[in-house]
Amino acid sequence: MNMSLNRIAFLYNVRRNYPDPNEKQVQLDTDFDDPATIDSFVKHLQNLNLTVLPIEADESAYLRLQENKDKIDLVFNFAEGLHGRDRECQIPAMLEMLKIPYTGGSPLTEALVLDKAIAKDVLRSHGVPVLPHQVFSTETEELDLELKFPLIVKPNSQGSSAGITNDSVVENENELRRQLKFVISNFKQKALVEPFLDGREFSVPMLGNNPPEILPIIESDHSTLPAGLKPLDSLEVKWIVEEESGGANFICPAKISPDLEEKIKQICLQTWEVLRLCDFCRIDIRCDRAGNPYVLEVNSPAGLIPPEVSMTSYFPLSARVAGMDYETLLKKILSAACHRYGITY
Amino acid sequence: MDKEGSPQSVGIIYSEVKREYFPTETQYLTEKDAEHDAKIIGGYLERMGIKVFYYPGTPTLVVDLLRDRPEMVFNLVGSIHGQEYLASTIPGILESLDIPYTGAGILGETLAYNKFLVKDLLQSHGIPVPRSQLFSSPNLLLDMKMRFPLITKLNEIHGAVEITKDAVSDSEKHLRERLKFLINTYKQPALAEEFIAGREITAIVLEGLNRKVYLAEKIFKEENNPNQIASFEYQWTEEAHYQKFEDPYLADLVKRAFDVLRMSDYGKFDIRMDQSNRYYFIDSNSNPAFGPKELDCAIANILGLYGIDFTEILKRLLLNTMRDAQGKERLPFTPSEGNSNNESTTNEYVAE
Repeated sequence: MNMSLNRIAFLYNVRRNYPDPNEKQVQLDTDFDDPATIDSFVKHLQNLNLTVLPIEADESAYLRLQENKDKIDLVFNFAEGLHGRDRECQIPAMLEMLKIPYTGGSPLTEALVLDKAIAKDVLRSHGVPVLPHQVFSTETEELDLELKFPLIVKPNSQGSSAGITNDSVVENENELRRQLKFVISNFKQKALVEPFLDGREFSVPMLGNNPPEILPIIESDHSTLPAGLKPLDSLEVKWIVEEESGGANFICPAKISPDLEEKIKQICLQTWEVLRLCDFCRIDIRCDRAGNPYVLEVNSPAGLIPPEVSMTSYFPLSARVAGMDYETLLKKILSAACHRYGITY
Repeated sequence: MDKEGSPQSVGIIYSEVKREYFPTETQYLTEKDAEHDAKIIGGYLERMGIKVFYYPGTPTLVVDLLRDRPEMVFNLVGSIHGQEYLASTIPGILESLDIPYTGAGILGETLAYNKFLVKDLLQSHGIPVPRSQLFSSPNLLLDMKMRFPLITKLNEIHGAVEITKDAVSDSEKHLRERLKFLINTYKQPALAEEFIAGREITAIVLEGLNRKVYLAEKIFKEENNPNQIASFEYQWTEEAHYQKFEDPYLADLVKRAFDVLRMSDYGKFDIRMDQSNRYYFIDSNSNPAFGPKELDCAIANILGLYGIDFTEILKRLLLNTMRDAQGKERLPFTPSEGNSNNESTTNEYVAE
């Protein structure tokens, strides 16, 4: 007999401070969500006639999942994991152990996506265009001769632009060493260094499975940024400028030639296939000056801040452009996951 | 934790094994002694004055860990309910509880159970691997570049399961039959790779304060037959026979592979050397059979050739795991070491 979807658990991590490019420690929590986002998210799920059990993905998450296992038809996994080497895949790993169905990628997919360097290696080996990169464990390692300035320095395993600020773009050895030191010491993880591209920048939301639907592409309009800000989706731009401007510095749907659009879509579909993504994700793409697109990053789970909290969260914004309200979007994600597990919804 | 950084209490998590969890007797054999082996290892730890807790890798594990609160655990789990790919759930649970553990994290463990992806990654980092193709169905078109003989392997299972003489195909007809058997029996994709005839080297990486590589050549009974394979029968039913092997170049490749595959603490690689002395990495394992010589594990047998006994292996892992947990930096690989050093005279902790 087919199970039907009535009761879900919502797994999340909560941050206590709003992301601030000037507060190094606060940047560590950037991946997490505000309490208002969590509350609002739960209300929307309840509006879909579902009984919702919110569970914070902290040390007690496993026990709470185990205790409630028989009352959970599916988990909406929105958690990033608290700490550890592969924190984003802790919850999928627990859910596999407890045999509870869940939205989003498997532990392998989430682990690959979290480790930017290895995700790029895998994509490159399958012919998906990614930039050459180097991983630094210390700030003193020699720079590969292949890498030419300007370069960008990122934490290897952090999302939501955490650790990516105006200072991340480095023009010389001194700046490189300074930024490596900051990333490695502040985030206690390796730093990824790759060429900084200053061509057009896109974000591509993908929804559903076999194949996923590509929602309207978002383009960052760096020409509207305040003076002094470098043309990239930095922490300053994503969490401050975009909020203050109400989204005036991005365009959705992107004004894009059919050729480039097709190229980007093919790259994203290939990325989805290679990394075995599931249900929903958002892929960041940047072009070089010749207009060739490269995969910068994969966001899984992608940010889904409800509209009453923020009107600039990329995935829900793109869904709205496609004529899909927030609850319909959530319903589609749940439906995609249910379909994979044979759950009626 | 004592003054030297060693834990006072340690947990050992091992696979819970029942015959009905496994599709075949051969796969069951690879794990059937998990609890017994854990007790043997625990005996060594107890003799070091450490309190040892034993845990089967089951869904109730968390309750037991929270009750006992061991300072760290040895994660020896190779499968959950017979599913090897679920072994990565253990590091996930341990990380969420903030309990230090030996071995790879979730990424390293999940990668280990996808041999095709491992080969892709190694190749993309310039580490030589035989040409291979993944089959999710026995009827997929064979890549024209693939050259017979081909050896078929399960993509997600270690322990040389189904690596028998019948695993080597000289014809497409035989290959199809073999693929059909593997895919239908184990319900997972199978990998076909070009069979490299030649000598077989096993590399063990062990992390202490430094990471070191220990190389040994597998000596088969029929020494002059280049088509020998390290079959299931060889691995599980016959006594292993290793001899020291030296090559700094290979040791460097192994170090690189260890990093690429996100292994930690220890790992094992199988490498073939063809008749032109070219190396090919044919297998890697982030969680290989672990135990002392009496359990006939490669790690103890090979390190024994270098004068390192099992107690010393345990000491290194205990200290390394506790150091990692404190966020201390690990030292880089010791240059050109491992395959040529005489370990019996060294104690790397003195330097600390």
